[in-house]
Amino acid sequence: MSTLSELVSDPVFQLNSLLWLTQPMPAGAGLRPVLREAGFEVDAISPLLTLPPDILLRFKDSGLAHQDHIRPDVVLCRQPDGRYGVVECKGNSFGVDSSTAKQARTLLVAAGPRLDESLGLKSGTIKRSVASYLVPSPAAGDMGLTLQALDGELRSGKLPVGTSCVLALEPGAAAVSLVADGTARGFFNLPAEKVDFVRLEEGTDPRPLYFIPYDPDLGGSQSEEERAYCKRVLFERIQASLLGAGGRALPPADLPFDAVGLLNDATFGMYGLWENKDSAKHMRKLVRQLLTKLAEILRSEVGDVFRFVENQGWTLQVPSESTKDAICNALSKFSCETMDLRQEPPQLELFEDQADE
Amino acid sequence: MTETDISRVGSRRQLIRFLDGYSLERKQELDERKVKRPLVKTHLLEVLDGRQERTPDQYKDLFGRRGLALKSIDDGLFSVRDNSGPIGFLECLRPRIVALYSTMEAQPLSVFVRKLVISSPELDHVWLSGVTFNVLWQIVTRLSAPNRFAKIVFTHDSVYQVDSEPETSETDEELPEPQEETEDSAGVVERRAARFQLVDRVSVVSAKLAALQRLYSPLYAISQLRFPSPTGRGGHDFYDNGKVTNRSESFRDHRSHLLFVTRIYEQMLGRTEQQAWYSVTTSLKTHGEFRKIVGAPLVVRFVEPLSPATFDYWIKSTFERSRNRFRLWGHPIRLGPTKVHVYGLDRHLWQPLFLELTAHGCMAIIPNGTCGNTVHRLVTNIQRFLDPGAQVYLGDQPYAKFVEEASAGIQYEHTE
Repeated sequence: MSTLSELVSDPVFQLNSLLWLTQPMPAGAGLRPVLREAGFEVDAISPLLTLPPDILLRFKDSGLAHQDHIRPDVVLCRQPDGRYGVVECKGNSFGVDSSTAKQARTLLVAAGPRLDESLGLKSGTIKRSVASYLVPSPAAGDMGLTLQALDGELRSGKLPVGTSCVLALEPGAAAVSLVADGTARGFFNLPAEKVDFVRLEEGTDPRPLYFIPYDPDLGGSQSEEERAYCKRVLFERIQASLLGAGGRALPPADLPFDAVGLLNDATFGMYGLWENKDSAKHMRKLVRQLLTKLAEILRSEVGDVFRFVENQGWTLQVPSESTKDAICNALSKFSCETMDLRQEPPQLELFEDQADE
Repeated sequence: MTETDISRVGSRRQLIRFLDGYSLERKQELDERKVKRPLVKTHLLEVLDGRQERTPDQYKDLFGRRGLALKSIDDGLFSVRDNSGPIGFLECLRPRIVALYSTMEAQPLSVFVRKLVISSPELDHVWLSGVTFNVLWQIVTRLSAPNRFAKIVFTHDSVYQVDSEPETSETDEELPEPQEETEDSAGVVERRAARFQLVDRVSVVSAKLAALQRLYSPLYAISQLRFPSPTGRGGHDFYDNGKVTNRSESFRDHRSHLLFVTRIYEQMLGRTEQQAWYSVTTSLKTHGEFRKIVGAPLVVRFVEPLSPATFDYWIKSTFERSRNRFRLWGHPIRLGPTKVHVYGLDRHLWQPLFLELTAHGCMAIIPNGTCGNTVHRLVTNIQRFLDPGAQVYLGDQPYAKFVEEASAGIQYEHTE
C-alpha cells in the first residue's frame, strides 16, 4: 500500500480525486465535493486543445519552446457566470527549463483569453478562465514560482497569457485536504485556503473508486506499486465486461471481443482518446495479457471455448446453457490478483497488432 | 390452477370475469374463515432484454428459454404452463413489467417464480424497498378512509451480525428461503432480527408510525404493505419482491392497484437510470469530440457503523459465495479493516457495478446501461439485512424524493 504522500503524488489518484470533487454527494458522505459545492462541474476530460494560428505564429516568433496542441486532464466550468478552469495533474513541480515547461506554456496560453476559441465556444461565453496545476502540497510553492516565471516569459513574447494558479493535495492527520493559492481560492470560490475533502481512517487507504483506472502515458511519473494497483482495477473491469457478456449470452452464441471495445468499456470510453500510438499499443498488450490468462483458465476448466483467431479477434463460444454456466463459474472464480501485475505484458503478434488497429 | 380454469379463458374479458368470480368466492370464504382454494396472487416481474417494445412471439421466446409455454390470448396476454401443468396467466402491464397471475398455492408459486428469476438474466423481481414502501404508505393514507384497517409487515434480519464464526462455504443464500426452525433444531444465534406485522386503523398508524420509526429503526424496513380495497373489506398485499396477494373481492380492483404501483415503479426506474447512470458523454465542438462525465453515485449511509466483524462477514458472505443475497460478483480490493472496493457485476443481470463498501455505508457507481433495478434490489437488501434505517441518496438527492416524484403524477384508476 502506498503511503499518503506517495498517493497524493500519483496522477491517477489526483485525476480521480478531481473528478470526485465535482460529483453530487450528500453532506457527510466521507468525501466532500467542494468544487461541486462551489458550482463547478466537469466540462471535458482530456480534451484536445489547439492554439489559433495567429498565436502559434507569435509562439514561433518568440522562440519559446511550446507544443502545438495539448490535452489537459480536465476542464471545469461554472456555466452561470462563465468560469472555466483548465486543470492539469502533476506528481511534482517542474522547472522552466524542463520538457514539461513546453506543455505548460501552451496550457497557460490556451487557457487564457482565447479559451472559448480553443473549446469551440461562442465568443464571450467564457467570462473568466484559469490554468491550474494540481500537485502534492510540498510541490505547491515551487509550482507557483514556475508558473510565475513562465507567465513572465510569455508576456515578454507578447503572447495572450491568462491567469494561472495552483491547487494542491495535502495529507493531514484526519483528512486529505485541497489547498488553494489565493488565485485558485478566489476563482473556484473555495470556502478556505485549505478544505478537507476526504476523511481519513486509521490504517485505511483514502482513495476513492476510480472512474479512470489507468493512464498509459504516465510512464515514470507513477510508482510501480500504483501502476500495479491501476492495472488490477483495469483488469477487474475488463474481466467484469467479459463475464457480464458471458452471463447475458443466449446459447448457442459466439461472442466476439476486441481489445478496443473492452478497453473503452473499462475506461468509460477514454481509451479512444489516447493518441499516442505506443500508449494505445501498450493498452492492447495489457488486454492480451489478461485475455490469454483467461483463455488458459477456460481451456483447463471448460475446454477450448475462448480463443484468438487471426482476422477475427477473440471469440467466446457458448454452445449450451451448461457450457455457459461452466464458463461463468470459471471466470467468476479467477482473480487477476493471482497474476504478477508488475510483469510487463508480452509483445503482440503481428496479426494481433493489425487486427486491433 | 387447473386445466379447466385455463381452458375457460379464451379472451381478456373471460380472464377478468373468471378471476373476478374466483376472487369473490375466495373473499366470501375468507370472511367465513374457510378458504377452500388458494387466493389470486400476482408476481410482478421486470423484463430486461433491452427492448422497448416486444411482440407476442418475443415474449414466447423469452419465457420458452426457461421452459415455459406461453399461448396468446391477445397481444399482451398469455396463458402460461410448464411441463408439470398450468401455472396461470401472464399480462404485459407496461413495456418493462409483466404480471404473472396465478391461483397456485403461495409457497410452490413463490419457489417457482424465484427459480424462474434466478435462472434468467432477462427477468428480475420488482423490488420495493423499505424507502419505497414508506412513500407508498403515504399514498395509502391519502387513498383510504381513516377508519380502514392498514396492514404493514416489517422485516429486518441482521444476518451478518452473528456471535459465531461466519459460514462462507459455497452454500446457497438465494434458494430456497430457509424453512421454519423447529424447536429441536434451532441453534442459539444472537443477532438482531425483527419480523412483525402491524394491523390498525389507517388514522392510528398514520399518526404514530413516523415517531415509532425514529425510536426503533427496524420499523423503516417495511417488507409488506396492504392497499385497502375501495370495493369493500380486505385489500392488496404488496411484498418487497413484487409479489401481490389479492385479499379483496375484485380482481379488477387488484389489477388497478398493480397498474398504479407498476407505473410508479417504471417511473422510478427511469428516473433512477436518468440520474445515476455514469458515462463519459461525447459532445461535438468545433475542434472535435469533447467528453464529460455525467451521472450521480448511489450513496447509502448507515445510521450506526457496522462492527469490523459484521463488516467482514458481510464481505466474505457476499463475495466468497457465487449465490449470495445481494447477487453481486467481484473480487474485493482491501483498502483497510472496514473498506473495500469492488469493480464487479450485478450477478443477476450480469451488468457492471462499482462499489465502495465501508463500515459507514456504501457508494455505487452505476455505469450507463446497468438496470435501475440493481439500485432498488441493493437498497431493499441493505434495509433488510444490514441497516433498516439506512439513509439513501442518488447524488445529493434523497432516494425517497425520487420515489415521491415518481408517484406524483400517476393516476389511480379505480375500475369498480
